[in-house]
Amino acid sequence: MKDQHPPRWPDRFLRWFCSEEVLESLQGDLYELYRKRLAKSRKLVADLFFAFDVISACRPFAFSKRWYLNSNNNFMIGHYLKVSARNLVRYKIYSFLNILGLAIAIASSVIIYQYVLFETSYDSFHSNADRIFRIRFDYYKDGQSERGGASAYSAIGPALQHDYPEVESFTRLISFGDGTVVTYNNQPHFEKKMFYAEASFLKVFSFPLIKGDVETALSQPNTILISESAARRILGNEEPISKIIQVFSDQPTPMQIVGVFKDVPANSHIKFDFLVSYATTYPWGWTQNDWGRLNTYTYILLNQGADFHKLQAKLPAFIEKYEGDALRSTASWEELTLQPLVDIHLHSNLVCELEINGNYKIIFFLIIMAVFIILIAWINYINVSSANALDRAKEVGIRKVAGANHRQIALQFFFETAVINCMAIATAAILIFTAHPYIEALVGKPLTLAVFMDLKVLVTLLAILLFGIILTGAYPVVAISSFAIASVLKGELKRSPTGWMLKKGLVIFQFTASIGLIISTMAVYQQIKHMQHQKLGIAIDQFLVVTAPQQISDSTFVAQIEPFKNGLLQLPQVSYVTASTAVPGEEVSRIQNFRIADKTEEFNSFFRVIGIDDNFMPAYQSSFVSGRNFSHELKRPSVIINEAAVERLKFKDAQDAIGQAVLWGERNTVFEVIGVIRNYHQQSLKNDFHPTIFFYNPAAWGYFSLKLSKADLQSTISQVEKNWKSLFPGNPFTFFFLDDFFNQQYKEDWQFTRMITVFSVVTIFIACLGLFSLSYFTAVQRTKEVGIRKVLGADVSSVISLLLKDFVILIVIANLVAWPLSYLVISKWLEGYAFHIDITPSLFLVPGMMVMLIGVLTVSYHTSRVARTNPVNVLRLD
Amino acid sequence: MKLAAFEELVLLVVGTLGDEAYGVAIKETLQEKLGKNPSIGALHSALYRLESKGYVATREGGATAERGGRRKKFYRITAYGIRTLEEVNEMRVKLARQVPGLKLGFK
Repeated sequence: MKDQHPPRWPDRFLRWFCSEEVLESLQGDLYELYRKRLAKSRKLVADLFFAFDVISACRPFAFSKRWYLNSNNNFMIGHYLKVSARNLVRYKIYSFLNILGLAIAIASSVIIYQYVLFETSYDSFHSNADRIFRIRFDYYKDGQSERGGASAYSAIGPALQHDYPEVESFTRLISFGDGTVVTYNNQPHFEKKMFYAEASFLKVFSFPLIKGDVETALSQPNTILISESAARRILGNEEPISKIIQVFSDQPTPMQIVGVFKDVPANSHIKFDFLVSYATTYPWGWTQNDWGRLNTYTYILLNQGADFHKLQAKLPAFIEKYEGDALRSTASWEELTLQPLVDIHLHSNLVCELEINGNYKIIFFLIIMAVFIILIAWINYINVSSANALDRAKEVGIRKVAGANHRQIALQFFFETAVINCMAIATAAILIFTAHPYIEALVGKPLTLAVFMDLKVLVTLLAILLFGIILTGAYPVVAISSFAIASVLKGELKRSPTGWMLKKGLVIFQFTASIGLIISTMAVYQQIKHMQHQKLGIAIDQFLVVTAPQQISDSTFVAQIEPFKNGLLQLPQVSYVTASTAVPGEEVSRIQNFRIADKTEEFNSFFRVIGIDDNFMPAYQSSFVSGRNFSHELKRPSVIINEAAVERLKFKDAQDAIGQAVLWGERNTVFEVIGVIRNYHQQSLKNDFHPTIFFYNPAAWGYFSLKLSKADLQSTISQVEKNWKSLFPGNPFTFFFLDDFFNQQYKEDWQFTRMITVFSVVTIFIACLGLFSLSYFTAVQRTKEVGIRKVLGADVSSVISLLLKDFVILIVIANLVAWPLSYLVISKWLEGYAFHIDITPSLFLVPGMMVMLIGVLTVSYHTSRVARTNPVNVLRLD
Repeated sequence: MKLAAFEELVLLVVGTLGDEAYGVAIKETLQEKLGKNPSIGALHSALYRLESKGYVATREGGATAERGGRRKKFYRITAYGIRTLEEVNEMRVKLARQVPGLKLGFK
């Protein structure tokens, strides 16, 4: 026997929309038809026909009269609006706080959303973005990773394309490093954002050319592409195409401008103002097919539909084919990984990155923050309006007596919620637009308001806000409209225990979230501060660094360098002058092979290499563990190494290293180790100590660091510049202060810290707004109780503590929940730092106490007012 | 227009069924005799209009379990309904006579 009952949902739907009059015959007919169909065919078919029939009957004639008759409802909207307005005015402060809290929360969440959208949009503007991959190169020695880098050998790109048909094309980039000099009309400019790029670059990526031809640009040696803004900066209003500019690449080289591209968008991980054709580098010999130098950034474009995981699985065999034997003989191994282009900005943190990348953890943290902020504001609304419900119970009672039904009362309260939410959204929009420039400055990123024009973004936002209205409207509606008339009007209404529990739960959630966010923010702040204030192992204060001249040949430089240094030392304000290839605060880009001289090739390892003169160590106050500094009288080629290098070279200790010979793998030259220095932080404390080898090079070419004594900076700089102009004419004088330069590495961290500090203050502020309003309503409800207690002899302080107790317990519970959760998050986050703070109890206690204090202060305003009321006033009417 | 085409058909069927005209019966007759298969919604909608125009009168029948305890609603053609049918038919025949080559004989 089949189930004789028609499917329930369509049936219910029918009953819902259909008037009773039509329903009688229509439903009967439908049931009868259903039975007949059921006898003939399967249940599913009959069910479907039934549903179809119900839908076919969904026509105006069948609609219940309640859909028309209540033109009253439409008429009532005007009334609801009036009542909403009156209530807004009647509870001025609380309406204001409600709207303010919601508006700030919506604005904060939207701003965070905007930031997250920007960070996740990196490189997605390329039309082939999902098919482009960067080659990540990892080098292992004795199973230990020595280098995970963004750049690789130049031979990898062509070999990949040759071996695997799914590789449609590839393109290579070589960086100009710290920049070079571009000269036009004898006017030198120091330019930083420059690359050698292959002709395929413009086809793989989507950087549109304004002038020039994508097909031929970058194909000829000594040709150059220039950005719109750089063209304006260097050529002014002249037509750039076919102009010759002089670029210092190894030596001053005249290059012809063959194209102008649009300025690179801020959300590109490759940022450049100039692209020099790759063919220009062919004479160097190692830029086309070399398996030794790790200077080439390689991007490959896969065929449409090719699966990069499959190609990834073939790459170990690729290494085996080209380098297997060579690598095995030196007990090392290499690994290539395909990095999806759009993942680079948030998921890649390698050696030789093109810029300091973002971090997906931060994005994740911000999303959680945004969700918490908006949830807290919604909870405020729910709590306050349902606490307020008791005040409005009488109004509801009267309405019910006058004939309002459940639906109408629900509609009215939804209407009020919608009014408040709409006002909040409007305020939020104003806030977002007015705060926009400050927010941009705060986060240091161009956050365009244009994202809100995007339909997808707009729909998402509106959906979330609509969800908020429904969520915040639903609970008070249910709570208020379900009051029984008689008990309301007789004044017997009590707090329902479930409602009170829910409210407590929500408050606990709010404060757990706020405390958690504050603890995390403090941890982040302390960590960044810890990194910045940690001793670096060298002194970087009071250094003026001058970038070495680029526009000069090797021999003249060496000839000029001594007079320049000596000239500067004559200045009374300058206590040291030292030349080096790198200064603290930048990544050492030279990474080369060394081993102990009498060992075989398999003992080769990677080291960072810095060339310095004999003043470097004393000027930077670097301390020697053993051995001595370089000096003019050195007879043999020698090196100084750091402690990390002692370890990597496997010397017994620093003492043992002195006098040992190390061999430079690429040139087979032997050096004697004459000194070991203590590890110092070359980069920010996010990085570990790297094994480093210092060469003696009195004419080290990179930077001149000037240690200054306290004196008039302006005059010192102008004197240095005068010396510079006379010795290195035609070179731009560029300088920076080393401590600023070093701290630049923390710029992003500080921006992030500032941002989350602002938003965690917002969180606690909104949570307190809610607490303030809630405490008002609960205190008012207990005035009679307080009156009786006072009549019976309770004093003000005991009444206050009674009223405070409820809230204090909630905040204590919130603390107990927040501590372990934030501990987990913080310890996970700190793992990413080589040098991190210890997690101390104060990290949890201080925010906990702070929130408790703020909470108690918030609550005690109303509490003390209620506690001080004269019992006669509240009791005389009973 | 006094009667839409579909309404006219339904009215005719109500007339033919006499005392037995209710939703399902009308639907089945339409199906058997005319090869029409209107949805129940369309049918009820037409019946509702006929009723409100006064072409049919209704009476309630007994409830059965088969119909989920719902009563049948029986339709009967009214005198006004019959007159309207006649008028419509007359008008149609009058017009049809003026069409050259159209034979109006009954087979």
